[in-house]
Amino acid sequence: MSQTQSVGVVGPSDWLYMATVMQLYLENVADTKRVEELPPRGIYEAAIEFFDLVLSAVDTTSVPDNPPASISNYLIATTALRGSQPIKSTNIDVVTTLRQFADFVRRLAEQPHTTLSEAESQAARDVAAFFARIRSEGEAEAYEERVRFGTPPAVLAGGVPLSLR
Amino acid sequence: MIPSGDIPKLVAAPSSTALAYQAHTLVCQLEAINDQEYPIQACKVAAVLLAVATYISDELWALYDPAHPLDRLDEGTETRVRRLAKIVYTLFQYVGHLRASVHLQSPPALQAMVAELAAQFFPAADNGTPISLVVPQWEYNLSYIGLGRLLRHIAKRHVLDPTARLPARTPEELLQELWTRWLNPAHGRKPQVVAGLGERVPLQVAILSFASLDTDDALLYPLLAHELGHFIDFSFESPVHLRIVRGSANTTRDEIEVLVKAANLHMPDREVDKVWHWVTQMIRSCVTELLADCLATRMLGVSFFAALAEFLKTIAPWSEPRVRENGYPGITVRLAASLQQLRRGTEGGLAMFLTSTKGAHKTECEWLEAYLEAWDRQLGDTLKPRDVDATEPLSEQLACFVERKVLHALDDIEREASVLIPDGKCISLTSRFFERMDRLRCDLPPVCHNDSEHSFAEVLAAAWCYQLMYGEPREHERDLFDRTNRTPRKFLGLDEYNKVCRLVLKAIELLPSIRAYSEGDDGVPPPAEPIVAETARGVLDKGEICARMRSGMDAATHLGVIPSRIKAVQSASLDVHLGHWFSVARKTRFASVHLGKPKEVALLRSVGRELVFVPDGKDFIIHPGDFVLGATLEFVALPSDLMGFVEGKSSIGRLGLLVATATQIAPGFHGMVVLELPIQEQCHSWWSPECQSLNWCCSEWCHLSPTRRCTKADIIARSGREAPYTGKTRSKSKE
Repeated sequence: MSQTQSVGVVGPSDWLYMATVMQLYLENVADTKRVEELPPRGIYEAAIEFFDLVLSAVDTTSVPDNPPASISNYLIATTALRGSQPIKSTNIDVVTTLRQFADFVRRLAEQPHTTLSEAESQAARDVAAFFARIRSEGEAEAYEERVRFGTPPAVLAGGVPLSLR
Repeated sequence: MIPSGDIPKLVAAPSSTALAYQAHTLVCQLEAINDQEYPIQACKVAAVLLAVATYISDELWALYDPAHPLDRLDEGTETRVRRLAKIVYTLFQYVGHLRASVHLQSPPALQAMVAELAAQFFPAADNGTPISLVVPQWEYNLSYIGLGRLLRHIAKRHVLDPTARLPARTPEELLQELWTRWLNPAHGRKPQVVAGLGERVPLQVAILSFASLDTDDALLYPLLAHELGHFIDFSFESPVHLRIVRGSANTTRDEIEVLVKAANLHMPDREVDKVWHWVTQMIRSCVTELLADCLATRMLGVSFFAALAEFLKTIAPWSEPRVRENGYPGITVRLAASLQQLRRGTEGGLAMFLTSTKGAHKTECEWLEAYLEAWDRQLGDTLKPRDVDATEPLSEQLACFVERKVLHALDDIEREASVLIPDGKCISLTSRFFERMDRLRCDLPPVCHNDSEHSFAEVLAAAWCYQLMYGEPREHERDLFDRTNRTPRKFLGLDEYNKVCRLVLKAIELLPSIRAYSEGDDGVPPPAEPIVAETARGVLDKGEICARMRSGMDAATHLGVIPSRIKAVQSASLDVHLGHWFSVARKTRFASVHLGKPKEVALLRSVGRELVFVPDGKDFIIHPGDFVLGATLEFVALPSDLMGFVEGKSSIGRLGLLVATATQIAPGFHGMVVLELPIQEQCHSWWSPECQSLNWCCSEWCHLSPTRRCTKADIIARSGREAPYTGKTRSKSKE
């Protein structure tokens, strides 16, 4: 079969290393209530890129550059969020939360060496939990890829939804 | 011994040394890909993979601390080590593809033609020079693996360079950086020198594979154009199909929600998200496949359509849905879209060609029109959107939604295809099309004088049209004849198909060299008036050889030599040239072979020989005492009243290289003449093809270069009373 998955279509395992480092970093921030050095630059920029892709899928003002890539990242994010938080009533709540997470991560670069409030500390913990969920799903997918002889993530993510079988 | 206190560390941590060793193994295996055994494309692909593998190997070694080998890595670094290892595993999958590209598994002629097609149809130069490696695969399928795209995908900066040490932000910049480092000997590596690679990292790299079952089935080669279509599509930073997915085929989440609500289903939001993702992927896959088909039809025309139709009919029923659950378009949609493209009135396209040549080739043109009309009827209203009842289940509603989106986007697909391959570059049939069909009818390779690599599309088109029009009826005629005469058949009713495949393979083998071969030579001109066979017997002189070669290929007296040139005709002989394939004797474990036992002889022929392909510009070396079989470059077809004798050029023989000890070519022979090339034990000679002279020196080998003039054939008219030779009448490119 030709490998014609769309460019940028990924599974959670593609973000595994970024999610791991971000989770560890944000847990530390939440525990110490202080923002020290940012995570390594390559990791931090990957996190920003991830949120950009996620939010471009639900941007009502324009069509994303790469719809399949945006939607696949959106699916990773919403699945992780629904797994890491109490169930949200509407999709709008989910998108709002993702926007808040993205803002929080972006703000980290603007406030190095600052102390966080209790609410901000809780926000750091929520985002850490979100990344932890991506990490665990990424680990599961990475293992499954090997034991299933490398089924591409896009195929796993893009199969027929259960509700339609 | 490891202290017992460290055993828990040993148990818990992944072995970074083992992973580093695996990366090192990958580097070694890639370094073993060389231009002696593998095509140049494989060497280039290996070089790109090496640049990445070498960096990862270095990174993994750097993470290993020999002073504290059992110190557990922190969680983040441990994850990174496993991600780097995953890249090693991914790259390692492609070593197998590289190994499968050896000449014996992948016909070199096909590799050359696909590389030529890529060069001809690839978009503008800013996309980079395409490297397309053609290999067989074990599954009965064809595939495209976009290695350049894959490398961009795995070149994630946060994994390869998390601390941003390298001056690169995008995957392309990162790969360029790794390439530059690999080329730089200061990094302690000595990269292989691969011709044609520069300082810019080659990222337009693809592996195009065909079913290994079809290695000899040249009629199915056009299917590779579909894979090449994918390569072209994905050669852009933002692939072309995405423009369509963003445009006429764009799907919003709201559209999916409306469908779900109309079906009165209370689906949770997360399920709606999944359905949206699934539908988008289906549409994208379908658009991608149809775009590749459209591009392939523009490249190869009727041969692609015919090959696709025959291939799909064998693997899918007509009842296939228009779009499958995995997003692949069904057989009817693919064929209907390809047929629609084929019928477009481009300059030199099939439709205009049939109109313009109908006067001279009425029967064939009418037959082809009837063939296309039959397809029109078979495919009917496939490309018209269908309506679905609102009471149908959601899955059916969604399938219909996808179909409508795809069919609505079909005009955009064709428009994008026509931008990528403008009408002026599409396959253009010429007056030689019917000449090629005539050649196949006369059991000759379908090549013409002054053909070039660009003739590939027309050769395949003529081959398919010949096979469709005449192949099967001739097969039945042969079958009837053989049954009546109780003649055993070699291919059980497939002699004609086998013949066409072999003649086409020989033709595409000749195409790259035919222009250089014919340089400055107008070929043997056609006759002013019909040639009448001479009644004289004995060795033919130059005039009669030329006259025989000039006679129409239908004539009973025609002497076919392909490629032919006037310079090759000597006063009473014809010079022939060395081909590209050699068969070398190999040591076996047989104690002896009984020549009276055909099975033993056949076994010796297969086990006791090794086939070697020597590309243009390379030499084949024979060691003293070696026994080698070669074959002529020329395809020779003798009429029933002529026979030939092959003799080595005496100037070579005097140096100890004896050519063609089995010298007789029987009347009626069609094929390449096998040359026996034993070199004498005491001989020390070196033949330099470059300086075109023979030199004595102290070397111990004889260098042979393909396409060199090596032997001559004396053509002799015989009495004509004996029955002509009927045994070996096939092109055997590897013998």
